[in-house]
Amino acid sequence: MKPSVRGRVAKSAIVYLFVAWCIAPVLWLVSTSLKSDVDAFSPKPVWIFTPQFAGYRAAWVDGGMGHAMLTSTAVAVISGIAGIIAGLPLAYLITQVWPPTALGSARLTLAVLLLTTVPPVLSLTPFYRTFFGLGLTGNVTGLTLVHTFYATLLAVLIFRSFLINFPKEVREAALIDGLGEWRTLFRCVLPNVWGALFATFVLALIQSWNEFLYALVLTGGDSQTVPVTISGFLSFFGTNWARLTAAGVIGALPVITFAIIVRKHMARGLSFGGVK
Amino acid sequence: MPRSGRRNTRALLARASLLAPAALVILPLLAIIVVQGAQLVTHNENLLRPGSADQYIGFANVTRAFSDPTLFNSLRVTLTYVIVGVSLEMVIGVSIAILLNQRIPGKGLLRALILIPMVLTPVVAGLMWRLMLDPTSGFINYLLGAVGLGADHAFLSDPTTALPVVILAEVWQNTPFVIIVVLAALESLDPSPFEAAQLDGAVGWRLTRHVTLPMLAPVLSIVLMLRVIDSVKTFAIINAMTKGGPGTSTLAISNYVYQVGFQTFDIGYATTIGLLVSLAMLILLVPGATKLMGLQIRKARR
Repeated sequence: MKPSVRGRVAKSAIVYLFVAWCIAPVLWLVSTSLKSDVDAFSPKPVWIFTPQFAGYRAAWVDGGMGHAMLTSTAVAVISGIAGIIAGLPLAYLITQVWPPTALGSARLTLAVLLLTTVPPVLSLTPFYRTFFGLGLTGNVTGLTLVHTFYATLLAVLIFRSFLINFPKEVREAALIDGLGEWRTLFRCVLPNVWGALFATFVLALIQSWNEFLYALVLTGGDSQTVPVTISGFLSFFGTNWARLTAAGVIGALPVITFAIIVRKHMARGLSFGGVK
Repeated sequence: MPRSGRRNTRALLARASLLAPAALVILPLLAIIVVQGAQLVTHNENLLRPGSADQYIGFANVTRAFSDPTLFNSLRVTLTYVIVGVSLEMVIGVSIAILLNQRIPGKGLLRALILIPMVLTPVVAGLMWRLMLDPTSGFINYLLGAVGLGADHAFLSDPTTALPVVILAEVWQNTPFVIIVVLAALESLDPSPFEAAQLDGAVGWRLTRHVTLPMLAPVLSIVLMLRVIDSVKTFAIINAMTKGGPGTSTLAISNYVYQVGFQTFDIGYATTIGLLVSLAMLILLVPGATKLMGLQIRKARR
């Protein structure tokens, strides 16, 4: 029995409408960032206009978006790499060294899962108080530590999902050949799961780049990340749409690019290996 | 015997060293949460009042929380946000995923475009919806005006519409997550039950209801749990769109804790709210997380 042609057209139409709903506001954001203030404020949408880049210049130079991009990149890259270095060995331990069904593995996995569910509102004030006392607020040190914490949890769960079905024989053979656990991990196991490493790194970058609450509390002045800087624009420039939307476009471009590059691994990474 | 003993010690050390880097990252921060948390919850600390850090008040912060109307309002706002938002995300997300799993022209491009809302920085998503909903120049008002429903709604400053439009932004941003994960699950399903059901004459809705959805059930429970966990933490969208206002009509828990802790600087009380909410969440979510683990253990055994 073949579904009718009309049914197929209707189904495609629903999907297209949904995708339009997903991207239309973003296109509107981009077009506003290229308009003059008069056109941006017009109650009737202005469809045809000469693109202006004054908003971008204002956001990048005067608004400090250029500096914020550097800060965010540094925090995201450092915490992403540190998270992988910390998370990969643990994931290897609870899938390859211990069987994933062992009590120790199950408990450690559950602990990691629970840590990811704890709302930041619980840790926000303790971190602030401690880091303030140690001089780690108002610069990126404290924030990088916190983002490393979350990147580690992400790395454990994603690597676990890849290594859980990795054949045990590889490690056994390597150990018989006299390689230690660490050399087995780096020489024999890791080269087979580069995809996991890549997916973890990009998802950790996106997570760190977009994170707002800790960044708002733990950074300040010169160390503000992209979301904090944009949020500052919202308070200071109200509805200066050209500058605001330009800042939004600049700040969102890197994550959107990353997401499209890594989309093959997105589902598995996002569900912590819940689906393949 | 001594030789094998030494080998055991070495194996043990190797295992401990695999655990060490993660422990080094996680344990100090965990210790900060526990030690500082206990200190803050039992003290009347306000960052603006010198000496208040030493003012021990026992459980006064907890009793204050139980008689705080703003806290109960924030719980109500958060629950509405989570229940309405996540329900819509699940229903729309699963429907679109099932449609996208069929033959649709341009599928690859559509799937790439759907990713965009999900990864867009939440602060930017909030800013974008503020632009769309602007009372004078917003596109939504233009559309409403074009169909004769009035073109000057100030959605974000009206307490009756502020929460619904904030939830709209949440649904816009996070429905794609449900789609991406469910679609990946659909593609990895075993096709034979579908073929059998189709031979038996099941098509369309009946196929979906009796074959597809039951087979998706484990993934749907994971997706639902992850969405609930994530949306309870909501902060950025609301902060960018309304800052919790007008009044307290969109003041979700995170926004309230931020307000108490870093605008009135009452960080002892802010920590107490955070602790109570986290405890409630853990009690509700531990059974779910354990079950999720159980699912994965079974999968590994197979």
